[in-house]
Amino acid sequence: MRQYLSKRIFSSILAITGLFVMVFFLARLTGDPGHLYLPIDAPLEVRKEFSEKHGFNDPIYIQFGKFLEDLTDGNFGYSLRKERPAIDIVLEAIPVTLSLAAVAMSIAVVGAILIGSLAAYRPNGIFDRISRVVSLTAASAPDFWVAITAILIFSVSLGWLPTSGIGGVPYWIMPIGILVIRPLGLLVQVVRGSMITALSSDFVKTARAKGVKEKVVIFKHALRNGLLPVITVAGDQAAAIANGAVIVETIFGWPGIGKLMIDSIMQRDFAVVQASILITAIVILSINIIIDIAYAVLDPRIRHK
Amino acid sequence: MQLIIEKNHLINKFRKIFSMFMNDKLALISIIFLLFMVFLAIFGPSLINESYTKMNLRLRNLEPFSFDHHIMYFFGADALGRSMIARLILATQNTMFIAGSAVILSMTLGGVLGLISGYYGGRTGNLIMRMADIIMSFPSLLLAVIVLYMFDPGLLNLVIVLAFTRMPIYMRTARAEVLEIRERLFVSAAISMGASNLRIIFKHIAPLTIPTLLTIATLDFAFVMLGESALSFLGVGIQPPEVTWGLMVAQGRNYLQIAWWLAFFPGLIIMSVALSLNLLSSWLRIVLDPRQRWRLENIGDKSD
Repeated sequence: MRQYLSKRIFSSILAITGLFVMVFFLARLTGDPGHLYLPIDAPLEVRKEFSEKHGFNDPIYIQFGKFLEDLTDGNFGYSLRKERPAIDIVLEAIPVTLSLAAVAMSIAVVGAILIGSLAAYRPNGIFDRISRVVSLTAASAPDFWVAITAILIFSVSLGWLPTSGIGGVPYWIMPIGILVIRPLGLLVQVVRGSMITALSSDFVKTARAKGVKEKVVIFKHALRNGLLPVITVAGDQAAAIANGAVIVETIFGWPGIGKLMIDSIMQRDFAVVQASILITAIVILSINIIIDIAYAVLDPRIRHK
Repeated sequence: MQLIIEKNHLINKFRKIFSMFMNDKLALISIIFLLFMVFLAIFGPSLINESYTKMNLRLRNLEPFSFDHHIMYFFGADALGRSMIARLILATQNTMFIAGSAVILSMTLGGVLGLISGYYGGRTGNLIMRMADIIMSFPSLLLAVIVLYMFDPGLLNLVIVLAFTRMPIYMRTARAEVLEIRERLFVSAAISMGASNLRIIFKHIAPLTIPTLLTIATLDFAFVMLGESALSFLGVGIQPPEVTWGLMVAQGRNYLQIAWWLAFFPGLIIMSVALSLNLLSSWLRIVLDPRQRWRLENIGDKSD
């Protein structure tokens, strides 16, 4: 287990490095930030000075070397737009997205376990059929469209919820609701599939034959085994939910990492783009490693290996 | 004689597939809807009269569901007075074309890379799989935004980016299949007869992986389409005057309070197509799984 984990961590670091080098060079190719940050009639000397000051004149490999040097001191560079250390801006945005994602994911997992197990209890029954169509519809819904339709109904027409911004509970309802839809739809399918397998397995038949109560059979015997695939898929959803966060944060004006990244890409704020990509990648890969550990803890067959 | 038997066999096969469709009404509706969409994508733009795609300021933001105007205006008109139905049909062609080419490209590239990785294994194989890990470990939407912002967000770049971000699934699946097929007897036979590596990979192994890859591709088409529409919505996908469903939703967003139908209908179509593909792929999975196929084969099949 320990060997597996260290291998996993090593390959994660490798993945982050690869991604990072790629992003550094891609970002430099998007053009000269001077065009965006200086007035259109700025004289040539001012432009030169600007480029010189931020080191945009150096060859790209020297820029990369300098950047790595700064990185070892924990310095991610300065945001051109906000004139603050990039890492501070990123660390302010991360908790916003994490809390949004954590709440959405918890609701999706709990909901999926409930609906999926109920559907699996009688495959092809009426509840199963309804939940199949509803969950597939949820998995097929384009989130940005659901978001603006929801704004149209709940904010514009009914006036129940605020259109955007951050604040108390009413501000959370629509963003969370929209973030939940896709993962919930996918997870219901997974729970249903693995619960059907678990419920038709020998140990469930044995438990029933012993006369164990049906509730105990479902929740103690079947569910614990049926949940393992769900954990893996929920892990894969970590990157997917970040995708959703980009959309939701852009539409609802949440100051999270997704909106920050889109804004800084559009404004060629390289330092912020790099810092946010590095931090996001680290967060996502750590979540995946934690899930691997959880998997091993929950499954005795792996734990004792 | 041989020919007649062959022909009967074919007809029987068709009948079987047809009856399997009949036993899953949702899949039947899905395939009909999808075929209709494909028809619209291919022939639609040449069937509509050009006047419906021209600006007509008298019909600006015309409300839907009224019979006062031509049937082409049944779903209303956009901010420039163009018929929504005509716009939707034009968008069908673009959306289908982009998603279709991206899926084919990513299936081919990912499939070949997966085949190579699985067959040769070792360092090359591991390197290819690490590449898949890198792509998967990062939100595809952000990666696509960066790349599209760097290059021009044109049609070709959009297809390449979408194909690239969906590649890992095909790589992993193809590799997993090859690892198992590689050990079978007919591969050893081919090796002992002196077949070259390339011949074994593409002639002997590749055909066996195609059904699995195609099933994934059905579902992936929905994902790619959703991805394309999200990118167009963020403004780095397809650019006006070209149009896709996602772009129509983005453009309609500005008119949300005065003309809800501009964003509503294209989004509804995106969802219907994605849902149909989902239903079709869950039908396909049952059909291709010999342990589950009986569920669709026997019910109500009185002719046999």
